[in-house]
Amino acid sequence: MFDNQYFIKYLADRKVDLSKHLEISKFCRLEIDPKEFEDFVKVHRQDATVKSWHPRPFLSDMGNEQAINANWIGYNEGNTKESNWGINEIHNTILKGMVGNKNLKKLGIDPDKTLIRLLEYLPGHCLPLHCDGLEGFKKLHGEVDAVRFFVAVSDWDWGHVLQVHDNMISNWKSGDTYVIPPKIFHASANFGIAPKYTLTITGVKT
Amino acid sequence: MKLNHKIAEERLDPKNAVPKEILEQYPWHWDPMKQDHEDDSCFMHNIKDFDWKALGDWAIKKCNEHLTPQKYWWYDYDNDAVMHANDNVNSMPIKEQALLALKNNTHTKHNRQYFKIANKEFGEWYEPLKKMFPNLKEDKMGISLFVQPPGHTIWSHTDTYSSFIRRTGDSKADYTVLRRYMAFVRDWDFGHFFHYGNHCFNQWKAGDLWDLKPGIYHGSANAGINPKITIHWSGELL
Repeated sequence: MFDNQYFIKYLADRKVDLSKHLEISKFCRLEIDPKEFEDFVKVHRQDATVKSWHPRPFLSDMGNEQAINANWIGYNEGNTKESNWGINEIHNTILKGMVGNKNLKKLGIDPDKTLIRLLEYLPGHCLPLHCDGLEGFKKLHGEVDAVRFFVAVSDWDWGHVLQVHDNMISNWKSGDTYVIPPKIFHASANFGIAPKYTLTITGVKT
Repeated sequence: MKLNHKIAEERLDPKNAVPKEILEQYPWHWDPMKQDHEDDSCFMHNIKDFDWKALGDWAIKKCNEHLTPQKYWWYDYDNDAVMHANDNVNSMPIKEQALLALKNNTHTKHNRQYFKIANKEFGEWYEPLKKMFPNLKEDKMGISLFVQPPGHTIWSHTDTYSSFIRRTGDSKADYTVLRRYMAFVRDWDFGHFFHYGNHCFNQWKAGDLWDLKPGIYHGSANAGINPKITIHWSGELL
């Protein structure tokens, strides 16, 4: 159960040091309508990509190593299930329309080189500590410098949290947006009683 | 993916599931968006004159002897029962809050486990731990330590002292005299979450002591790589 030596080594090899503070502040607030996204989920429930933490053939070596390390210490489909929408081109087009060009401009990214994913974490599920491989984005747009944003869809509710390095991000308002810097480890959880809806927006800066 | 149940169309309000006497005796704002709250005022102090590292190491060793979290919550759909491990807690005051999390929701035995060490199981640690709270009646006091493995949560709730009632055999809780204190056994780590009302803890230190006043909604999760350990003293005030 507590054989976390491999994950600890994985972090140590990457010189991840929690004692060193990383400044993360709110980037901006997007103008979005949470209900529009919640309705999208209702309509497109059957078309969701449902995933949990385990190695997959299309992940990068880094992504798979993180998944193996997470599985080894107890993460599985019972505690890491995520439904997401956006990899499907039609969904991505709809989501881009819902976010809108005005908001994408605010983020300073090229709408044609942007991937939006709507994530649903139901109560009891979490996103274990990891850093992003941006595999989905790279598959569409190649190896380019991209920026990853976290956007809160709904107003904050009890038990909805995100940690980015040593920063606790919570108590958000709908549309609050943070940058998740590359190679920075982060984790999130939903231990409340209501679903947690967030967006990840990945794009190339204009 | 088809869910086994419908997602609630309207926001579930956990306040409605809290025992009436707690709401009356301990009014709270019950607004997740409230910013001018004092939910962090329940921090008491850091207990320095105690070997928290030794207690944490001992607790992990003890869990590793059997590797089986003793406690988990689940809903028994066949018998319409809220279950805490093998105990049916339908008659306990936690029932309505547990239903919100477990019945037609996604907190399950697969994401709601913890190891528990309680009272005399503490061995030589028991007496010094008891002495820390002389304001609690010695014969009406319980101490429990939770080891929360990665991937597990304690759903948000207000304390109803259900385990304490079961242990003391009292028929009903008198919330006017019951109190719970909580200390973190290890420093904060990656993926360790705890919200007390609208205050989300960060970078806590081993020995940080909180007065978990009744009536304030709280919960925790571990999305990290190390176990999260907390210790709790529950009892009747002198």
